Amino acid sequence: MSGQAIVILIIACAVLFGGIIQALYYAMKKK
Amino acid sequence: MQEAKWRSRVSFVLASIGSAIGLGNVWRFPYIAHKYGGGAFLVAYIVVLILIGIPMLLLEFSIGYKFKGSAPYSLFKVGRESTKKVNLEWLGWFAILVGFGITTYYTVVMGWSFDYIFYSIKTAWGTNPREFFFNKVLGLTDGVFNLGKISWPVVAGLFASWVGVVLSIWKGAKTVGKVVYGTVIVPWLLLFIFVIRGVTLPGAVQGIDYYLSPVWKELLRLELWHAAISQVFFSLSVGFGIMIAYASFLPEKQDIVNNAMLIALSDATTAFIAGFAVFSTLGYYAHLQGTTVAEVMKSGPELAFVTYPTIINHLPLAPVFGVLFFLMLFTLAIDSAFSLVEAGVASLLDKCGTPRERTNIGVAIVGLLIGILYTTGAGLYWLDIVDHFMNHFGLFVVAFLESIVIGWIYGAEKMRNFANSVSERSIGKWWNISIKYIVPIFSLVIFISVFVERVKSSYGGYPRLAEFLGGWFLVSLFMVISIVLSKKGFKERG
Repeated sequence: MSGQAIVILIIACAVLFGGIIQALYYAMKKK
Repeated sequence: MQEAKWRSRVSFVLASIGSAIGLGNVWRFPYIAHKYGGGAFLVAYIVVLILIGIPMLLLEFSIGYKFKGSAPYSLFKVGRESTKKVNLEWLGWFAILVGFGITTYYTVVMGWSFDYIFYSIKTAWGTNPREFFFNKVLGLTDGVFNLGKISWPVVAGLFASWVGVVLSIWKGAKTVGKVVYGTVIVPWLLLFIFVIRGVTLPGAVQGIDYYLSPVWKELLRLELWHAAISQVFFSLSVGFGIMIAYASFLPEKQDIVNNAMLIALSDATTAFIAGFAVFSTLGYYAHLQGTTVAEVMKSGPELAFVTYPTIINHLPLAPVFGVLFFLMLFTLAIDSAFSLVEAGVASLLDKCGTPRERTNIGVAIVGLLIGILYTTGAGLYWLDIVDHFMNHFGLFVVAFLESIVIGWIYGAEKMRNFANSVSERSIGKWWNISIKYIVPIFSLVIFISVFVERVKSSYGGYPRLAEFLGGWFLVSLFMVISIVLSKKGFKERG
């Protein structure tokens, strides 16, 4: 895989999964 | 009439995710990503998701949660509580009718998937899946006005799909809240299986590289942004009144901001992951054929019902993967379909107060009968035309007007304050900017650009009469019905 493809993979995973984890964190914090 | 409430937050979140995740995540998103610069499109998609998608989802949740009713009822109330008293009920009905228009053919696609679960057992498509799908299953004719014969296996699949839809919404949120545990988690598990199967095939890396390698100059093309906005809108199920109805079923003291973020990101992540399943498998197929991924890339029904069966033929345990693949499509689609129907049923209950079970069946019978058109030999052509008009004209009209109504008539700041007051995290003032400027401007630009395209040439080269009947006439008819339905307003609730 090209270097740029790997960078995109890392950025997309960070934003999407990071966002989901953050949302779950807020939900858990409330409880 | 007071509707049943979600039994838990998880039920609401899963139902909304199930509504958002559909066939488009698997057969449209990867193709669009590939077409508009791979990784560059992904970056644009995430930007649009944050600036337009999440604000629109939150807008619909806020409307539904604040006014506690279906789209027509809630928008009626929005109009009443605005500084300028306007009757906005028609906009809710228009959103519902556009959604129902989509359901009439979406259930037919579910019917194909249902049939293919059984065809997979003996890989009935043989060595020529194209001939099998277009000729044997659909009985496709040579033109849009040559209806040919009704495909009875597709009618059977359509019937089964409507039975599934009606049973899933039988007692509203109470039933939906249970069903979504299966209809969301099962396709996720199956998608996971296809990702693992795909990435372990020879040639998979080339396919994935093709998916993710960015062509940065594509970011300068207006078409890329148009495609990204369209995909975000189609995918998040905004503009059909679904999210308004779903949020109205929330009990008191529930978050909406954080849920909107969670749901939108889950939907986007599913599409992103589906890209791995699709491109790794296409990489394998290109590897087998000694060609490039671009040569074998298809989208829509052809990807699912021709390309995939062709690839499945080359896999060990072909029938197993066939059954799992079409079961995944069916379960992906069913919660999107029943959310569209539920939005309509909830509206009818609000307006007429008819018994829920009878309303469910009545809506299903009407949908099933209309759906018969799509089971004929010209069904695929009509499906294509109606799909184009519902998504491009119906959806963007609703999105544009909803954002104008909340942003400029009701007050974006007022709605933002309400959303923040009930939520566990706050949304900043940027939401106001999105709703007042970004969403309406982009919706309008897309609407006008597609309108101009259609004036210049008919969609897909179809005859103008067919385009008129399946497109302009239908959208206009929905508009007229919406206005007629809103003439007699809702009674105020206690």
